[in-house]
Amino acid sequence: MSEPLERQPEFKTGVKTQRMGHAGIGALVTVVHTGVAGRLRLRSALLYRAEQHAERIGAELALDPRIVEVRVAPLTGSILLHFDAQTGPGAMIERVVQALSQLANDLQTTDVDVSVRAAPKNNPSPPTPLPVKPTTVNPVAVRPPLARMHRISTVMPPWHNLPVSVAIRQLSVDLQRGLTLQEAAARLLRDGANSLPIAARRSRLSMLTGQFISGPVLMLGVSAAVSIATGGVADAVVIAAVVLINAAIGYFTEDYAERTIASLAKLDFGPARVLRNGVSMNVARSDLVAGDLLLLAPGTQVPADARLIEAEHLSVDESALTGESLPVSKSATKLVPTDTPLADRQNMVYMGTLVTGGSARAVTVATGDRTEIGQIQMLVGETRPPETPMQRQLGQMGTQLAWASTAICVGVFGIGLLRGYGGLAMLKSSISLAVAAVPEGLPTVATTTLALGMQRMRRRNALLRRLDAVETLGSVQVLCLDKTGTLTRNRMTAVEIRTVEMDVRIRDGVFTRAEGQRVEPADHPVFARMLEMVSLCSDSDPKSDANGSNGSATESALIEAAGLAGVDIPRLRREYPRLRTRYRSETRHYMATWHTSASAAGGRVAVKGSPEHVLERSTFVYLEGELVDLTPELRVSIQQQNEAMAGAALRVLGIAYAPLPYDLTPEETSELSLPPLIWLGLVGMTDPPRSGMRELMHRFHRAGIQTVMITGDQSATAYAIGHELDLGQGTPLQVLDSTALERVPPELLSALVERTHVYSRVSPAHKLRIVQALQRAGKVVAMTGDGINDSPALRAADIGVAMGDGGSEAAREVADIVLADNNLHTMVEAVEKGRTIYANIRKSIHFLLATNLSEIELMLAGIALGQGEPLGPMQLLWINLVTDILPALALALDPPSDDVLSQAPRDPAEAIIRRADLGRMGVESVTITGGALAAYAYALARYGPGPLASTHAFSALTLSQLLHAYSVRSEHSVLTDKGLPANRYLDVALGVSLVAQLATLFVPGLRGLLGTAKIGLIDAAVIAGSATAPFLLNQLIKPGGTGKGSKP
Amino acid sequence: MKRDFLFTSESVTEGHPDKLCDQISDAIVDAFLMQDPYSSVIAECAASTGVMFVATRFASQARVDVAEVARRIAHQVGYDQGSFRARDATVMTTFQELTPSLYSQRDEKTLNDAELEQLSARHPATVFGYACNHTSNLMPLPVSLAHRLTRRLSAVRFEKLLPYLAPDGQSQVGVEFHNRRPVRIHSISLVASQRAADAVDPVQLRADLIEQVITPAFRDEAVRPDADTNIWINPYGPVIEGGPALHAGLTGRKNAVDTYGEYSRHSGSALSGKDPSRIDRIGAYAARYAAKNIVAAGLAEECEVQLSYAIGLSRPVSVQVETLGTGRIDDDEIRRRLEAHCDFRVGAIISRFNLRHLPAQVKGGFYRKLGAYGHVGRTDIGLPWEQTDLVAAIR
Repeated sequence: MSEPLERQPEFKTGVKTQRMGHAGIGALVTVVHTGVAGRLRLRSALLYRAEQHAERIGAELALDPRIVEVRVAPLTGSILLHFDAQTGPGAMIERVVQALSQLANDLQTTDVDVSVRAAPKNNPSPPTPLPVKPTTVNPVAVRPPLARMHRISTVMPPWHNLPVSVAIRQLSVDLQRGLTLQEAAARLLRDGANSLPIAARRSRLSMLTGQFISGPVLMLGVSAAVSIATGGVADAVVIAAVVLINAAIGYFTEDYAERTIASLAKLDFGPARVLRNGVSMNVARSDLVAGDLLLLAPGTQVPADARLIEAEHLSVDESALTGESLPVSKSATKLVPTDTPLADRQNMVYMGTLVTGGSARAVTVATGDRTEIGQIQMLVGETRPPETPMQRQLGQMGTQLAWASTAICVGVFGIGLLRGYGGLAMLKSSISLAVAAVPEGLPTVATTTLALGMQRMRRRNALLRRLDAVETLGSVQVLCLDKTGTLTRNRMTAVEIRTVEMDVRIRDGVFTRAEGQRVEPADHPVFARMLEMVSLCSDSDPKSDANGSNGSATESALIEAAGLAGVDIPRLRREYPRLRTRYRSETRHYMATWHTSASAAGGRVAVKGSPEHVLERSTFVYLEGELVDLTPELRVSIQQQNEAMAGAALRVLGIAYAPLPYDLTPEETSELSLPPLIWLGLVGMTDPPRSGMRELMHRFHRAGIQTVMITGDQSATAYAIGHELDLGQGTPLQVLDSTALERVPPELLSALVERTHVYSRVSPAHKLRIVQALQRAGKVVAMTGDGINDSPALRAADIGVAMGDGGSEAAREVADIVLADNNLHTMVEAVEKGRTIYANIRKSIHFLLATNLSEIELMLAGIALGQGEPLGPMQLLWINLVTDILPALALALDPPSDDVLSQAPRDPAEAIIRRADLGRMGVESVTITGGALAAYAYALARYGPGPLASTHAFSALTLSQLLHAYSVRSEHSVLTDKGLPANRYLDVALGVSLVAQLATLFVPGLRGLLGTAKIGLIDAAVIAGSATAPFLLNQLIKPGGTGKGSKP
Repeated sequence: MKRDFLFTSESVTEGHPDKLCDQISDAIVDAFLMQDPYSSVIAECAASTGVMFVATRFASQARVDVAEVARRIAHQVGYDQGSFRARDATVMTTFQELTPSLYSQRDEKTLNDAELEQLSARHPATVFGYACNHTSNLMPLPVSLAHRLTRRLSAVRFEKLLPYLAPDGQSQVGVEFHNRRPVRIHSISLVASQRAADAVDPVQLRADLIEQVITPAFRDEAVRPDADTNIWINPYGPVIEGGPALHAGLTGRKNAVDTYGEYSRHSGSALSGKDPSRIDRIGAYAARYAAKNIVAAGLAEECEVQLSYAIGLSRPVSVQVETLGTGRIDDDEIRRRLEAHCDFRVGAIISRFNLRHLPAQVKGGFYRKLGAYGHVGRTDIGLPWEQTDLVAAIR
């Protein structure tokens, strides 16, 4: 690398092709013709089809006194100079180069290959446009108000059946430059914005009116009418008030829930990358139009339907459209018949699909609701989030119970009539009983609880994207964790470099041998060469920091090491411009780059990748300065070095290179084979686990969740980390190492995955297989992922977890939960919340059903025994208001008990209310009824039938029900349950309800309305006793006295 | 004592799944000992279609990529095409770390007598060693010939003389004995697997094997096949591919092939996959050493040495010498001389044969080479227990 930097340009006149070496400059300008003195024809890619640039250069050159005439033709990018014949062409060329370099700088192009080269012999075709650094151009936002009205007919040509040239012509766009800015704006006006119809949410009005159109309200209406007809206007007013209050509460809770659910972590994707005016730029997705040239890269969502023009190893995840879980390969050159189904159109990409690998250029054919996904959405209509399984279950159960209760109320009516009570009075009573006792809106309980829970999770940075994820969280049995980025920080640092002759450690930026002496990389040619090759074979910029994906973190570590060794990377890259790159892929375990050289030192092929694979392709090695064959002994010793490094939990890469013939052209490098390589050495990098991971794994294990690590590392590295994190939970660690999981028979894989703790050497495509194998083995699987290739696995998993910060858009789009702060600890919290929410829903329903049953039983008992109505209609409505609403809401906010994370996950097939639960609810309601009946009987005995007796029953029942709210909080006796944290909301709710209840006894106005009477002290004592007795009794009949906390 | 009889012994190539597993297990032992000579390691391997299971229990400073070792061996043996491919095979590895304090951490050579007494056997073992004067290497003829055949079978594959062969292969040789001396070859059977069904037809295969394998193998032998010798090649038809795809393999299932071809008694314990502190492995080597030296010293024409070890004791509880009537002196006398000059304590065996350091000293690993073609009676590699340096002392 220490070649002379300055060389005089030498050239012969009259000959077209010549090479000029000028330090640090490359193919910015190609000399076409210098034959005639005073005339010079050059060509530059920068000016190709770029009028503005051409004008600028032309103007600048015209100012030069030596130049007589300058003509710049943007059509071909050529510059024709007539100049003073005394001046040599060299000086002219320099001038042009200077002007062009200035232009390049202004365009902020740092990767421009700024060498001067002779035109290739055989073709007059223009050079390929240079990669220009992206500039965010905001086109003029023209948003005509009625654009949507201009619907272009949806009869579209079959793009997949048309060759690219035809498509291009149809769309009137320039293949090389894309649309001009003006044309794009015009088309935006014509076609409208590229956005999908947003489903309208339920309007507030419809929500409000919905409160009034329900069975109970109608029945109450009938009841009010009856009251008015019989002269009880006050009653009717009360009924109206009750209806209004119920409606108001219902409206507010439903509105809150809807809003929360609708805000389920919406993601807006970043801008789309297009080629316009010959410049690649970022454009808002909604501004795309038909004919726009899209530049697709991995990890992005395709912003519009498009026909592929050129594709390099493009693979796209089309599951949003076709349901196909694995990515499909795309090819620009294939033409398929018109009737090919959507999933098989290999030369098209569609809006809403995700690019998982490779890159491509495509021409937009449809935007907005003319896209395939737009058409589908128009058919679907108003979109509501689908019901969760729990909501469905509750809905069914609620309907059944509603019918049963209604039947009983009718029965009460009938029996009352039989017993001789007045028809109208019985009617009003039965209606009120129905309203109070029939459990309507059970799914609403679930929805409200879910919404409340979701908000709390959001505050803890766990963003939910699907509602039923909350339910599933409670039953997660296996958590599959990505190593890089999830368990580790993905900040790699190179710590060890081994060549066949040297072992070097890197600590704090200093290179030392194992024994401790400092090493100057420059003194060791092999070492230095290795770091140089590493710099060439990386895309990372020395200045940027590591972010996100595996590739760049590894490369950043390598670049950093090279920088520490004193390699001037930008200069090295300029000296050895890259001709071609072969990236690492599923089938190719190394990255190789071909470089040409400005000097006669010749080009290079630089290779870095998996040590075994690179070693396999190496035939030579430098030993004591000599190039020798790689003998089998040397190979074995290199393998041992690799093993030792891998065993120390390092990620190891092998580096090799080969010289290339001087003067190689890009076309010649398109042959795929690598020459025999010269082995340079191994680099070991560490990516230490985040702090606290081991304890976190223990928390998961205690919660009954098995943790599984998935990594692309070698098995020794994987084992070392698995051991450090104690993934085996004390048992022998099982590591499954495979590069071809698809060759394992599915039943065998299902059996293997049940016992495996760590998967090593796994590529992202295998993650899906692992998830499916685990699910086949009957497990509920959660999987973390952040790479673009993780989307199929994330979607297949029962819970897909994406990292919010630094992960790819694609992963976040398909995930069920996004951990906004990349903190895996949040996952434990999410599981805790999920289990708690489920348990709370159970508690609320338990409470509602038990109390409602007790009301029915009380009325039934009273009337059947001929003891009059224990509760009047107004009292029943009061109970409905006071005991059904606030306590149920407060129970939904019950905090997690101490042991919720020490229990096994819930069985997903289990119903939310089991038979055993129904039985217990029945028993509890009987005790509550018993207490109220006892009070009633006492009052009857002492005071006879009338308001006083009914006051006793009324107060006893209500108080008993309020106390029951405490009882449902635990499966075990709440008096002895130590793991039950306090629920302030419940305390407050019950306090308020208690005060309200006391008001009914002491406030005269209320007394009149509800028909209650004043009670004495003894009466109060009796009521208190008959309210507490059922509570105590219910604790006694619960299973196992001193259990801790509540089992879900 | 039978004088006239027919005896058969078999051998398998290194591509046979059982032997593949043996080699993988021993390669893992090598890998551990190379990095840390005081490792304690037990490796078991099972290979089936597309999957290899390797269970490793170890107490060691070394860090070994077990999956990589397994693949490397499979690749070296020749499994790089077909349905069992080293690169693609899934390897399920189980690791269990043992507590190092239970195991010796000092070089046995540095221990004094009292300390050697402390180093006791941790497993019960009855091991046998045998030697006889059928061959120059004092091994029984049937197994010796069977090994020659499979070696040759493997060689013609590696040298590409018969490129259609697949790694898996098996041989069996039946030898007729008269007065306990081998007189003729009664039968030879070879099972050779081929890469693909159309790679070669049975007639051609038979001709090739006879010409390239059987004939060269017997060229320097005193007892050769004659016109009446039965030669069976693939008696049940062509074997396509063979290897783990066809029949599963397990470490330690070819004990007879590892030792004397059943001509003498042998211990039921597997030899491969165990580190030098396992007496059920190294005892067999010590017994062979004893038997060979007895026969080499001319004290008997054939000799079987039995050593029995009990847990907790370092010396064998029983040393028996059985010369099957061929002893020049009394068996008891031979035993006395043996015990006087040969220390059979666990630590003594390890230090005499340098068992801990051999993997690091021998190119390409030591124990891995024992994984195929026998642990005893080898002429291709120098084995410490094949040395006849005790002859002078016991003669």
